[in-house]
Amino acid sequence: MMKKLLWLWGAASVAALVWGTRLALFVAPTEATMGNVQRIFYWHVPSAIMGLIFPYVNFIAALVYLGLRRKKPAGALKADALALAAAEVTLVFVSIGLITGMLWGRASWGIWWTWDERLTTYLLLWLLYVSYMLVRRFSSTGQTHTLAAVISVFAAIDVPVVYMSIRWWRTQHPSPVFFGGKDSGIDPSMMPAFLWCLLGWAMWGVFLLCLRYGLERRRQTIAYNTALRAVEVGLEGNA
Amino acid sequence: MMMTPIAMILLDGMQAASGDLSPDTPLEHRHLILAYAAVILIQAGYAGWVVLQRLRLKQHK
Repeated sequence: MMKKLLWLWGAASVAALVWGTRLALFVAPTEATMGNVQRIFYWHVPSAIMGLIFPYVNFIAALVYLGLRRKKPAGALKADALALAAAEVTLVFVSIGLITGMLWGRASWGIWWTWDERLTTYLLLWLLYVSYMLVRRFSSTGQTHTLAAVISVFAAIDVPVVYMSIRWWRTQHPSPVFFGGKDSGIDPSMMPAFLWCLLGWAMWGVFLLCLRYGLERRRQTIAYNTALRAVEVGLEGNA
Repeated sequence: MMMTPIAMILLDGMQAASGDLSPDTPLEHRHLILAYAAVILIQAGYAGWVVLQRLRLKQHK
């Protein structure tokens, strides 16, 4: 039942994305100064927003893991699976935010990259999650999950700095489009395309999160069963 | 109404994809196509990888 619901959710997210993309490419008006390249906005901004939301799923799951690891190891494993899934989904969205941003920047500013505060703090977030994945993959200290949880805390600290960077400093990156005061906002005719794309990518992100969480839980179960079998074989050998 | 510029963009994108990066292809069109293609590639690639891993684990059972 849950499996069916998940795939239904995935299909609904694709439908929302198709509709949003149709609006973004064929219905929304062409922006006056940048021209058609501004249409990157409809996928760039929702991806960047998702890249700032999923780190908190990762952060909360990491905190739950740290809190439960001694008292309730089974619950801690669930939290750890969710933390890993959220980290991967974050990395996907942040990578997309960086790549689409660079493609947009090259076409509208004439440069691929500049070390302004928004871009640098966002790159830092990406590097933190790359470090997170590397620690998960290669650390053999026995404290891997705890180390990864600490990186999650650093990433959660970086997220508000990324968000506020274009409010605190004058940057090459445009000033806030939303919640940026009187002069912010987009033309109302662009709003439906943006909102559909935002909804679609949010739903897709949740779909990926659930899909990846299910995979990690299966891996944990198999690892647990394998370890249990090894112990049983060991006990039989001793007897 | 917007079909013409989008058709133009798609044509430019196809030219760029076929290796014909002539100076006539506007940079903005190429980059718009590249950005959308990159997003689809990364998202579909990741989702595909997760689904494949799930199938592999199912076989493991």
